[in-house]
Amino acid sequence: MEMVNWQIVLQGIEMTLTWQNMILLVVGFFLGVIVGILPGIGPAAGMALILPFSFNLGAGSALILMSGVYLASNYGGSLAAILINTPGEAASAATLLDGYPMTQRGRAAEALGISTTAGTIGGILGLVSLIFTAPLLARVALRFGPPENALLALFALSIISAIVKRNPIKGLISGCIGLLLATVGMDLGSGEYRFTFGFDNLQDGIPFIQTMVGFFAITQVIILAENDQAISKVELAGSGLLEGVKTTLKHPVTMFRAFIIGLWIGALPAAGRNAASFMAYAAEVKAAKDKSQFGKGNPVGVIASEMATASCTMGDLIPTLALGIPGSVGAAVFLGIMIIFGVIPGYKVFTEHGVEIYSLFTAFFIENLLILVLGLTYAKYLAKITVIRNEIIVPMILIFSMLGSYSINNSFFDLFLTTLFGILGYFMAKYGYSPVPLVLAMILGPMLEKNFQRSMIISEDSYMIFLQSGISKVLVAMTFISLFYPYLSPLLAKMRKKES
Amino acid sequence: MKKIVLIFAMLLLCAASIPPAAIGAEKFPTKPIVINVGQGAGGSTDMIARALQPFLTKEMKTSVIVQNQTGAGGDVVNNFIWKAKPDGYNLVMTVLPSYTLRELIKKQIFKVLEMSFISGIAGGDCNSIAVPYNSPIKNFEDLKKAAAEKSLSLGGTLRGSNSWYASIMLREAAGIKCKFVPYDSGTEAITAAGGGHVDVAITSIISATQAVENKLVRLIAIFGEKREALYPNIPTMIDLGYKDVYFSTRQGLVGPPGMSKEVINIIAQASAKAVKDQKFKEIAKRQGFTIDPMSGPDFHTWGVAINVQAKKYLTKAGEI
Repeated sequence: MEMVNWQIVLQGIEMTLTWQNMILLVVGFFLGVIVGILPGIGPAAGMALILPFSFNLGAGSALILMSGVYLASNYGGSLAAILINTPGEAASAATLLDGYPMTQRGRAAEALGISTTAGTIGGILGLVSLIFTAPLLARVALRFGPPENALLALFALSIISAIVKRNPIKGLISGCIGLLLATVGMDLGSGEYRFTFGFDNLQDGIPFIQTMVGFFAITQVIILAENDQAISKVELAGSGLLEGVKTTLKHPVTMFRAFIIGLWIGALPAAGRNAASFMAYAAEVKAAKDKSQFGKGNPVGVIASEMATASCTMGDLIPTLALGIPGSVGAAVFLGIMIIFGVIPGYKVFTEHGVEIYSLFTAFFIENLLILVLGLTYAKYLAKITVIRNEIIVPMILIFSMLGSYSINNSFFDLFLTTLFGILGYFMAKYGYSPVPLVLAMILGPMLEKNFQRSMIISEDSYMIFLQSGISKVLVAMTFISLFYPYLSPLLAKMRKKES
Repeated sequence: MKKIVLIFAMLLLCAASIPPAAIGAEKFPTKPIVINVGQGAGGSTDMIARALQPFLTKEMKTSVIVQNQTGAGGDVVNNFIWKAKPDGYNLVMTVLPSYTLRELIKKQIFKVLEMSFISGIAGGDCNSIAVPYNSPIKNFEDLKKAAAEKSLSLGGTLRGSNSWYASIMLREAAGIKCKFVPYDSGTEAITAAGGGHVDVAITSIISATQAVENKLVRLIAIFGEKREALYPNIPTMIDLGYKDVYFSTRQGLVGPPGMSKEVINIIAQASAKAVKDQKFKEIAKRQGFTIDPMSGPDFHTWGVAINVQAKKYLTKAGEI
């Protein structure tokens, strides 16, 4: 590794710390929080929308502004997810699985504390990895081709078997519905349309955020409308924030696991934040001894999802900065903006634009701290939303989520979808079907199918392509272990008993 | 509390019921003009529309709004424009040849060439052939030889896209047969080439540039009409002796069929002025698109030629 030029590092830090740039940083940060809260706008669209206002800025300042939007959107997304069960970002859908049940039990402040702590730690560790391991990780990620990506998706799907152990039939039904929904849209190989029923809007598949808004927010609206209390069933004490910090720090293994998953999924160009958060959540359920508490307000679920999202956000920038290949849609827009301002990513970026890059890193670091400061000071006031009476809050959530869903494509069709999924989610909740397998299958289904098709085209229909590389072999082995271990482990235990 | 909510709601109602000022027949424009874009915010065509928006607003003396209507590779936005009132308040930032290709490969309601062509804005991005940086294939001749020896895999984007069209040209005109491996975006396809997962990739030059700079891939030919300033050593297909193998992408303003000449002229004149603005040129340079203004009729003639060429190749390939 080359020697770091400390003078450039210091210049970069200094550049961020000027008062003009600090103002831009804070403005970008709050815009990011808003972008995150609104389900309709993701970080990609958010950055594109404010781009015209940044043309008069220098490259460094513009990147600082954008970095705020890019990073803080996660935090905003989690706020909406935890407080009102509305996934502001696609990735925060995993946070609400346990974050919202915590809120219902009057533990909103604690959930926000966890989200803040895990998000900050994940972000800072992710940043450190980005700075020190980007070139290496990006090269390894590049070795993931169609067969490896297909196998990775298959492995992640196999985790469903562990999640649904408590109620396998209902869990598998939920997973299969997800896989079926994932087949809607254009078939990659033939270019034919499947299950679109003549609707243009379904040609690209069932849109994810619109579906999630229906599945979680609308479902919750119906459930809340059935009773006249408030979201939180207990009067809020307003404390618990520090409890959240403590809870998070008590789970270093969870944090580590989620961090690695998030960082790695981020480094892979084929998968984004939503895959990272759900995979980390699923991995946590799989690893837990007592699975019955997940979905009922288990803080561990929130830690996993938040940690993975935060580290994935930094991980997405690994191939972006090292190779100029975006790790996600958000990173693609960020890459585009860097190019517009003449900071061309790639192996030369540290020598040619060192000041801007180190200034960007400094900005990310400060923004992560801002999450902590904001989270620990204002969150307890935000948590008060959950004691507003249902007749006031329910229509507000309804309008808010419908607007969000509509504004993604400006399409009434999407509203129809959101409503439909709201009703589906309602009945699934009523009859005890877990939503996790469905969502996981919807995210992983296309990744599996498309990469499977690509592999088969490349190999001319030979399945041996899935055993060619070392990475593939490891993934196949891991999938087998994951599928059969739950059934083998009691057998092994019996055998051991006999021996003794 | 309830009273305040009630008053607020009534105020909102009043605001909504005020009719838009004077719906006159002669005067245009009297209300905001919407430029519809078939891509999401942040896409290349979306960025062009958003770059143009403030300058067109200035020249039209009314607000111009960019609205994303994504879906089905542009079918959603085209169907919308096809059915919209031809009053000039709903336009589309069209992308050719991809919208023409969409029309040819699938039975569509809309017909691109029957819409009202107002003005061409940007153009010149073309597709390129890239190979992994360490590939034994160094130039187009190598590619031909390698393709004759074994079946190569070629990464591109979905059926009906520009990259897919370029792969068909390569097959039909140059006789290079490859296994077409479809990806969701040009960047994904070029990444696959960079990782050595496909032997060749065809993507727009904009998608390939970063991978070229970082020595992940090498370009061996481009599909443009002339060589690219950035890569003067890379031959065009015309240079390589394939006279009718060329096309580039063009973006411009198009309205619903049957717009009146007066309205077309007003928008065309405003957009002609807007693209000449020094600031707009600066933004275009920063964003990496080439301003290439064209009058409505010229843009239409260009569209007809593209349509004829596409029909020829797609028929030959048995795709239509």
